[in-house]
Amino acid sequence: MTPTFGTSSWLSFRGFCKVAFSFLCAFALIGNSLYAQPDSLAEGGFGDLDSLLNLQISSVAKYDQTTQEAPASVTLLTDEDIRNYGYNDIGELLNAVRDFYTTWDRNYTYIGARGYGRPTDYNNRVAVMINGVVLNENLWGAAPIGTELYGLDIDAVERVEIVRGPASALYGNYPMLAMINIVTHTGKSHDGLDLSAEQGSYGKWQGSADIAHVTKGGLDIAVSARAGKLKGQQLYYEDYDDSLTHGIADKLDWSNWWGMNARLSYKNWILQGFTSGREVGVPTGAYGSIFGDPRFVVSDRYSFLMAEWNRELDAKTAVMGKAWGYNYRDRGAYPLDSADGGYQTDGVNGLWAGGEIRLRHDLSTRNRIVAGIDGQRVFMADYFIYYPETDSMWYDKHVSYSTYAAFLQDEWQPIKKLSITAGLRLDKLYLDILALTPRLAVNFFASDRTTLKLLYGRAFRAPNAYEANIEDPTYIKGNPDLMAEHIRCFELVYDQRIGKNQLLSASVFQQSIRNVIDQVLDPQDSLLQYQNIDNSGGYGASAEWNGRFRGGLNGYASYSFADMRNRVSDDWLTNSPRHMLKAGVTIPIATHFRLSPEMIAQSSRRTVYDTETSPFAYFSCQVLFAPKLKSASFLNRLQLAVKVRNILNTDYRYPGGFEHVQPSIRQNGRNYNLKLTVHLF
Amino acid sequence: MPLKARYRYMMLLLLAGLVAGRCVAQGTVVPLDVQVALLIKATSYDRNIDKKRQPDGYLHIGVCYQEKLRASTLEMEGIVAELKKQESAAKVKVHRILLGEGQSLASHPDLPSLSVLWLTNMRGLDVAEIIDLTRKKRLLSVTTLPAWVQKGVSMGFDLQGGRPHFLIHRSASVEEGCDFSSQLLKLATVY
Repeated sequence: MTPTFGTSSWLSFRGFCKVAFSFLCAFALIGNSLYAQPDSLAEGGFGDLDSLLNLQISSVAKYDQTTQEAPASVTLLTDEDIRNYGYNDIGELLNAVRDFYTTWDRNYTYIGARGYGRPTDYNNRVAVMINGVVLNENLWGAAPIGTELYGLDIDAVERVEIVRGPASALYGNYPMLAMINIVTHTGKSHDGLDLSAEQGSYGKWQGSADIAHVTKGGLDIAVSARAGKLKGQQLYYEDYDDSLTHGIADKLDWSNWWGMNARLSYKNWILQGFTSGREVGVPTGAYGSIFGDPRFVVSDRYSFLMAEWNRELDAKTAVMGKAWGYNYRDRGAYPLDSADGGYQTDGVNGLWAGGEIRLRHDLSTRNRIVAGIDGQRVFMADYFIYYPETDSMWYDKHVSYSTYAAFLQDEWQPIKKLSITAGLRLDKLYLDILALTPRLAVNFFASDRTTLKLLYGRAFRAPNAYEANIEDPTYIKGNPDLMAEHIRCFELVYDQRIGKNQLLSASVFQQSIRNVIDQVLDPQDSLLQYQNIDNSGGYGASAEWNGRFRGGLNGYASYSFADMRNRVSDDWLTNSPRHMLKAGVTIPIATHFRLSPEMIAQSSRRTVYDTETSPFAYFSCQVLFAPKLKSASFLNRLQLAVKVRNILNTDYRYPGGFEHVQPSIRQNGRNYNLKLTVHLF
Repeated sequence: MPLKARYRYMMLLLLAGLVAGRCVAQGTVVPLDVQVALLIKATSYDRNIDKKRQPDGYLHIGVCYQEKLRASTLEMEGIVAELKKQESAAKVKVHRILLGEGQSLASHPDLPSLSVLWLTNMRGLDVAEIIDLTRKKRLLSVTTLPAWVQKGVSMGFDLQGGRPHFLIHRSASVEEGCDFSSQLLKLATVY
């Protein structure tokens, strides 16, 4: 039977489990027969997979550990992956990661993980961080990954740590589905100055600079900046095809972006500053705006300053203190398609500051605890609606509040092959909501090549200031009685090292989400209101092969399955692809070239209007020219990357939300990007 | 799936996973075979290296580890395995030095015969105490943890720009009786 991607699973979950287990057993049993002799320094190389697996990450347990030791399912993408595959932003990078998918409505980019991605939820169920600083803003809890984060120079990213599953036991609000930590270069890891210039389809121009250095006195400086613009393209929307516009939005999807990241570290201190802003034209006619009107413009700006201090008090104890200040600004201009016309603007002004104190103590060599407290004061989480033509402020809500939390985690290794991690966090949130979130992880190191992890975690998302307070007497009312959403997840993870260069990973999970916050219509007064209405849940499984070989030959392939449903109606959730296949390979050619084709295939997704998008397979490819001449030529400092996305010009669409007339939004056709990078010193 | 069949699959998985394999480096980014090769290379740049050799003409390397900490034990096993491969070519001999609750390095019976002390990733370890000892005994101290070099361990390894890199604490290495040539110091990050 030829498998097809459709509304019904072509392979039942039980059948899939049988196949997956057999597959994994076969790989494990024959693994050692595929083991190659180790490379030696004399042969000019060492295992890249070793370096990747031995990278110390601190985002999972708040102290350094490898991905094998971490009490979570973690994927790392390095700067080499970013360079080889030509990822332009975090959203594009996430599309290549097992279990993850994105949705772009030509305004914002939204993350989905393990079949759960509510249309236009602004990523408030995922925590996105830069070097440990949470980027989620304080009104909607929105986390930037698309054009809102274009100001972060992707070439200045050292690695991206993607942690699946709930992470509130250490991080509190937001990380229900996942936590993504973007780690940027330091002077130690990337000494020098790189300049890049890019040109691409739709009138794209982009430039970036990345400088990093460690001075003789030990001051580590890393600064990066990126800016660009996009003119846009001609887009057709059949839902708006009338005699006036014929459904055509011509170059209304333009965008400008800019940003800078700076990180200084000296002895025990780290100072970091970040800003990323963008302005986009929105061509889709969303939110009842006049289709084809160029005045539909949205802008966002995220900025923070952070200072961190670390010190080891003695051989067993380390203390960390951190303080941050954050500003978020959002503006939207909507030319309204209403009988009395009108041009509406809305905006967010967010300002908050916080701090964390954390202690790490080794009770013994086998028992490590981490404990801490953190607090945050939201000075402003203001939202307004303003009509410039009549100079009238229709809605202006000022919100301020404080949050506090305490957390404790213990990692205990009773025997060499076993590690147990248990954690608990208590949060006092907005609306005086209290949330107690536990986590439990059992890591069984069957051998130095095989790891099994049994994971249990809970996480929450508190109702945000917009959901609780938004009021417009003509269509919506607030709800101060909202409760936090909660997720509970069980997961089994299996990692098997095969030889020196290959890694096989697999996982099965079951998750339940209750008290999901969504808009409903109150029949008594016909006003919309955010309420806790839904319980969702489901199960899934995924498997991935990863290979890193000598000479730069790398590859990955993954398959994910997720069946997520509304527990009340048993309906398949909207915006939830059941099957995803991803694969990519980097092939070094003739010393100077690297060819990196990639494929992403997804089954259909249900839209909010109860239609389905078509399944699709999308191919991209980058050719990277990085000369390695034996002479000390200036050419050795150059890199030229040519990337073509959607090579076959596949027509594929992502579901929109209720603010869209069209059930789904068509994505870009075949497009190219040229990038020249110079490494100056 | 019937319960028995489910358990059969699980057992098969576990049995498959228990097949022994090569030790994988833990706790450090630079693979252990590369670190061992770099250490042997570095000793050839030490003008005083012959003074460190024992009467049998070998460089005796003690690898310190904590038995109860998995990361430390795995590193020790990996380092020992790599050093044993180099035994005759590089004239090195390796000793396992177990540290833990109630076990002191100063009173370890192998200490008098050592030339080099290699510190794996350990917890709750007073590095200052160990450094004090290596300087008194003129043992070259080496570590898999880059951060310990800044604390006074003479040599470590890190990745910079994707390539393995020496880290050397200059004054510590001098106090431990080493005299590294300028050729090595030029390649290293010197603290």
